[in-house]
Amino acid sequence: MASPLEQFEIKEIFPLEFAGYNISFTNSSLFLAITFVAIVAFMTLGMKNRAIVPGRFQSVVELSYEFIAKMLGDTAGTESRKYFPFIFSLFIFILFANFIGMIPYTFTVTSHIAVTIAMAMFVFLGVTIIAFARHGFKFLTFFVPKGAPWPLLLILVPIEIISYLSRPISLSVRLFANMVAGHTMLKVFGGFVVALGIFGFAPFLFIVALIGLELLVAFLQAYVFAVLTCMYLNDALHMSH
Amino acid sequence: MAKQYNSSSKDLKDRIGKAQQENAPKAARGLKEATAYSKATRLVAELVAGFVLGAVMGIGLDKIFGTAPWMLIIFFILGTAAGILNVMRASKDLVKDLEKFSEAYDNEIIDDDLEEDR
Repeated sequence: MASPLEQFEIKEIFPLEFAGYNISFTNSSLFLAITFVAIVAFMTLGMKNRAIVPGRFQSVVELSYEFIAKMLGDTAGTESRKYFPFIFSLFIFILFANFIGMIPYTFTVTSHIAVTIAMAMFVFLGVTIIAFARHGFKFLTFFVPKGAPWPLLLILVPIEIISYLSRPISLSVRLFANMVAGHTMLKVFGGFVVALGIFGFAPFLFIVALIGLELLVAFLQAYVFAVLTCMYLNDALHMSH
Repeated sequence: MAKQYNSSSKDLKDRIGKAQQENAPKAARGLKEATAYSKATRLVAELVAGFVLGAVMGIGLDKIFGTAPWMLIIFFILGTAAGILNVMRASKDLVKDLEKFSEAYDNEIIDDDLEEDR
């Protein structure tokens, strides 16, 4: 039987090499492209009619917009409005990648840490640049806890810096680990269905429940990624823990 | 007299709260459990990220300066502390969310109370 981890393998579709680097078009690239096309189709087709009273499809698009706009305003304040396009793109991209991965025979791009850490590092670097651009070197006081006696600062400042540097790791590992764990579990129980023959209905029922849970996790992880990005943005804009 | 009224209104509030909980839609309860799951994964990731970063920084600095294993020991301890600090901060946010939620819930019950009085 196939290994439950086989679904995460990267396969080359069109082998390509450029300046010594392997830049082949892989199944991961294919599904990144599919995710992108799906998002563009979702947005443009949804807003095609631009009705004042939205239809069903348009409502979904508008609801997703309002959902993120409200979340951004609640967590990072009104000044964060200009970063809305980025947060929204991030959320929709992760959401679509996760949901497309739930379709059988597809590939989940967010199950690779290379993809998630690229997004997390982008967020981390962007937020740090925003913080320095806004507060200048005063931002460094973010790493100095208020009211601590100076001998303790020798320990506390490194801890604060490591805590800040660990943000992209926790952000990327969370998304990647959730996707890998969920899809592996589905595959393992799928194997049980085949192996148990007629008694396979028991794990089959479990899979039905598990798929429901995985759909929720797919949404929640996209949401958590977006919320945490907003919280980091809030720290950068207002320098508060 | 006033005290008696208060106690009976509290009693009513408790009963309404209980009834509302029993009649709460199942889907909402499921969603609450799912967000609990997302909170749990969030806390775990914060903790582990601190450990991992501390260990990686320690090993890297040891390789650069050839001071094995001292940097690893120091940075792993600092990383552990950072991980725990992250979890404390994250859980503080979660408690804040919870308080906001229960406050809104209480207000809702009081509003219902007033409506019934009228």
